[in-house]
Amino acid sequence: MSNIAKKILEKIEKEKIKIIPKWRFILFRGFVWTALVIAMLLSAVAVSMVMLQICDIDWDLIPRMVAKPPFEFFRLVPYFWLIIAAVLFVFAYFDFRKTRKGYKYGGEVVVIFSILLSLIGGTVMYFVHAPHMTDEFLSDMPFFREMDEGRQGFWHDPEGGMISGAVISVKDGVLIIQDPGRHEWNVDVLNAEMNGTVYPADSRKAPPCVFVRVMGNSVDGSHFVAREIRCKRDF
Amino acid sequence: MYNYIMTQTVSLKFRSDAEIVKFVLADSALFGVLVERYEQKLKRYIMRIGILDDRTAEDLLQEVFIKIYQNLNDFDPGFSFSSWIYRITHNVVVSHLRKMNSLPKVVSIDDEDTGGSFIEKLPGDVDLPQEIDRKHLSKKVLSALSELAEDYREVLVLFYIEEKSYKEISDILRRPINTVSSMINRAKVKLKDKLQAIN
Repeated sequence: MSNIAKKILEKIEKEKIKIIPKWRFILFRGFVWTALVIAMLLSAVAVSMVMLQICDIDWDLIPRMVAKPPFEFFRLVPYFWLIIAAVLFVFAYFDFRKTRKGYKYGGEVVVIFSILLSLIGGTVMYFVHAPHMTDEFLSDMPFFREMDEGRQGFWHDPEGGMISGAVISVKDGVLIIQDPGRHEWNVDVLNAEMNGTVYPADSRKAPPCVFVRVMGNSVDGSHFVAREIRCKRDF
Repeated sequence: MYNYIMTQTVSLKFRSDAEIVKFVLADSALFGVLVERYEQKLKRYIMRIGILDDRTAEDLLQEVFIKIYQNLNDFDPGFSFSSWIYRITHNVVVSHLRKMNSLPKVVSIDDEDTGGSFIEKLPGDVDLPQEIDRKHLSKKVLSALSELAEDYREVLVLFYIEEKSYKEISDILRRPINTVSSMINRAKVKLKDKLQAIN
């Protein structure tokens, strides 16, 4: 036996060096794959949130907002969820590289495949209402509430003939709405249209949504006559 | 005990690496068989990629074999054992070089044979001047090699000296085969530039 072999065997014996048990490697690989799956699922949720916020934009109303300063339009960009999706995406990329065969694929292949997977996952999540549930779940948290109010605030322009906010109640054809600045508006919804039909104001029912955007005319700082109501988040 | 190991060593001589790993997992005293099979190759590899002296290479070699021993259960028989231990060796050397915080600038010219065999194996596109004295050239090649970036030096060593295939290099460096292929091509160009600068 060679000297180095003898030295190594002596060292192993003297320092009682042990072979690491197989279960630890299995556990590690399991952890890597679990982390990868979780990261991909979360990134799909983040992508679906981006989709939700993009779908929330009333593109046909954008031309009416041209009077706003250009930077105001950036409020509509879903930065937060884009950043979350990107961070999870980068994590998933490096985590995949740590898998046993992860290095065999070129960076561009992994990136394209991951983007496709996130988009498909995000679309599936969107259609099973995952972002709606996430949005509702997070809406009580101050950070998300402020972020949402900031975004909804873009659509609040009483002088320009549009208000937006949360539905508080409806009574005798008057809808009470709390705008993003926590100010309450009495909205006359008689003869207003919602989703193409006349809003049933006399039914004393609130619209079937949490948030609305209302087009019409401002009477004063607290009264608004609605011409059209758009539901923005269903119950 | 020693006699037992010697007997087993002889009987395992013609077994495959993966088979020996199974035996070692059952009886760690047989690990010496794997050490003997790879010690020379790995030591040369360590010296070539790290441009290290004999003593440091031997210390690192011990560290490599201890890591191999500890991680035997992580070896996947679906992969080549040789690639797996070269991968561990690569990690140990890279980690050592990082600890040293700088790449060695001076080449050990003891191993002129390495330079010579390297020249023979380099393809024609490197276009080395044939009239130069072989021994002198060996030194130059080693010198140029030592000045290459760690990644480039390593792929050239693996491909031309260790005679590893693209797939094996891909497994050792954990890079895609296409990347390995382009790294080798770039490394050859860099080596040629270095040699021209030396000349």
